[in-house]
Amino acid sequence: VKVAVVGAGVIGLSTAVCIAEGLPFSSVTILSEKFSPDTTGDGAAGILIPEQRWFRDTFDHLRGIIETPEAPEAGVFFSSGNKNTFPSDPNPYWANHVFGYRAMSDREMRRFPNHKFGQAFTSIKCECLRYLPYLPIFYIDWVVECCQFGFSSCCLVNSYDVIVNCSGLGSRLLVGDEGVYPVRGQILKVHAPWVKNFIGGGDGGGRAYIYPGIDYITVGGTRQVDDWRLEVDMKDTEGIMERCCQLEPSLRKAQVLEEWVGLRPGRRNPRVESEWLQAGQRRVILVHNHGHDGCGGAGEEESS
Amino acid sequence: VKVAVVGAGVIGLSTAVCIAEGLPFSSVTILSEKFSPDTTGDGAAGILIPEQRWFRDTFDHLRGIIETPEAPEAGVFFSSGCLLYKEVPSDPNPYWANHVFGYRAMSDREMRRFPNHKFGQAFTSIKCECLRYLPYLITFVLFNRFRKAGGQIKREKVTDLQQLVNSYDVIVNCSGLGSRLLVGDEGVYPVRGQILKVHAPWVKNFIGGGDGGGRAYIYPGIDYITVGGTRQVDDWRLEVDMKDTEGIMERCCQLEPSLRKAQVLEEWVGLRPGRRNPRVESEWLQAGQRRVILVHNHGHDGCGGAGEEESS
Repeated sequence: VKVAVVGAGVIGLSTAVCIAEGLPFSSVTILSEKFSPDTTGDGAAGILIPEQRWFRDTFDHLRGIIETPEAPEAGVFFSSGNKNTFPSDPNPYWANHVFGYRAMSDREMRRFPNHKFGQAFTSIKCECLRYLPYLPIFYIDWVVECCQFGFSSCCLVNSYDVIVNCSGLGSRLLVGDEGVYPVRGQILKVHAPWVKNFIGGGDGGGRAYIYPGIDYITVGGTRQVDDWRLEVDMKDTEGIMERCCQLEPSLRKAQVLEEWVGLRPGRRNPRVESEWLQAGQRRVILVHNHGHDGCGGAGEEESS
Repeated sequence: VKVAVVGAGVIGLSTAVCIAEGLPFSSVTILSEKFSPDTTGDGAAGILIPEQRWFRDTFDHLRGIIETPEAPEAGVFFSSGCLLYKEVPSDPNPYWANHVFGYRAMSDREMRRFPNHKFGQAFTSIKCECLRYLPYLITFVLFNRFRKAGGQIKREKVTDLQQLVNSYDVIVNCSGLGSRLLVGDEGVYPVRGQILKVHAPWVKNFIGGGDGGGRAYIYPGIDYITVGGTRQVDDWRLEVDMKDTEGIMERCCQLEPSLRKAQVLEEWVGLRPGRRNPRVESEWLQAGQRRVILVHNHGHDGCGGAGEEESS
């Protein structure tokens, strides 16, 4: 069976590896315009915050990696911290999936006078910058770097039996999915090695968060729907610093190494389904696996 | 009032600050052979692990610093992690559970990472790194005070307290291990500790293993992870012992396998100022016609940081 996986971000590579490991007699080819460090996931903080139903499988899969000595190379490690929020359910379904879930005490919440409730727990951070190169690509038979082209191209249909579309935002053009739209996110890469715990502030709006990583702290962010701009916006930088310094005053003295912008592949629901693709006399299976917005890492496992 | 503080480690400088702030009309002079980065505290991990009764005051004092933008310069920050025990302790809810943040017993699921241990306590405490904290005390606190009320810092080795009697009204002895010679305190002995400074920036949480014996711990710091350790009583050796290095790596890689791939930047040895109990008391010191108060504040073993606050 000849399988083509389109897209080499966290969804594409994870999917390709799953297929290659699960179908040992298949031949898997990855076709993508961009590879790490140029994928959307490479700039994302990569913290596993429970939001999708596949969260648990991904958590367990990554926890298996943490217990091996290869964990640092894979960019996978435990990360503890708190989310300040007004939860609808003080005991969420994922409380048992993470480690050490607890509501924060009044004493702890005094640090955050603008927030009334906080959840502390230990989750996992998975940094694409290391994780994508770490994935066992030797399972993959061919890796092709190419420009975008439409699925209607005869080449693709004639060469493969199954095509898996993991092209994220590219699906808009590639398969004409107009339900896909960008959700622009700007972050700052900050040098602040004394910050060891993550803080997700303010109602999960995604506009104030601090996620300590291996090489820097990811400080963000923005969620601008239908915004295609890849350039850094200085107003966003100021807004992010303003909001995050309220959560963590020590950041005022921290050095900003770099700003980065990524376009999350937004969609009302992730599209995970299959259909037939016809070109001339040939019909192949087309599997869609895209539209994970900011949860690409967590959606990793559902690809299997 | 002229006060002399002998010793510029974490106890000496903290004491000097307390006196300077508490007695605004006093003139405080610090005399010490060694200063940061050459004090014992400079190599210690600096994590505040509840062991002494002054722990709470120190915790609150440092927490005040954390909430200021100067916290990184002071080397003070929150640190979360766990202490592991091979047997379940008699009191699984220790007195200090309310002093730290977020104290909880670890779940069975979490404990599966540590098959050699049966019980774990997770909490958030504070790390105070002397390498930054001591210069911070001098620069931000003491120099300000010296300008207002006089005082200075003298780099000199004090060998005889009698020489200070004519120049000062109060002498505070914070000379740690040096008290053995300086005041003839034979109750003071070294407790040798070796640590490894390791580059492992993915380790964010501390792990203290094996019932607090002090032979297996991992404390993430600002510039490196402090991996240790040893507790060798009456051992004066300041040289690195390769056998200790191997033992430390062996024990700590069991707790944190990812350390196997980590780079060891440096090894370091310090002699904790051990004593059965810390000596915190005062007496009269006579030299000729003059009598001055001599205050002792030493013998904190590995708890120098935590003992900080009791100096007031």
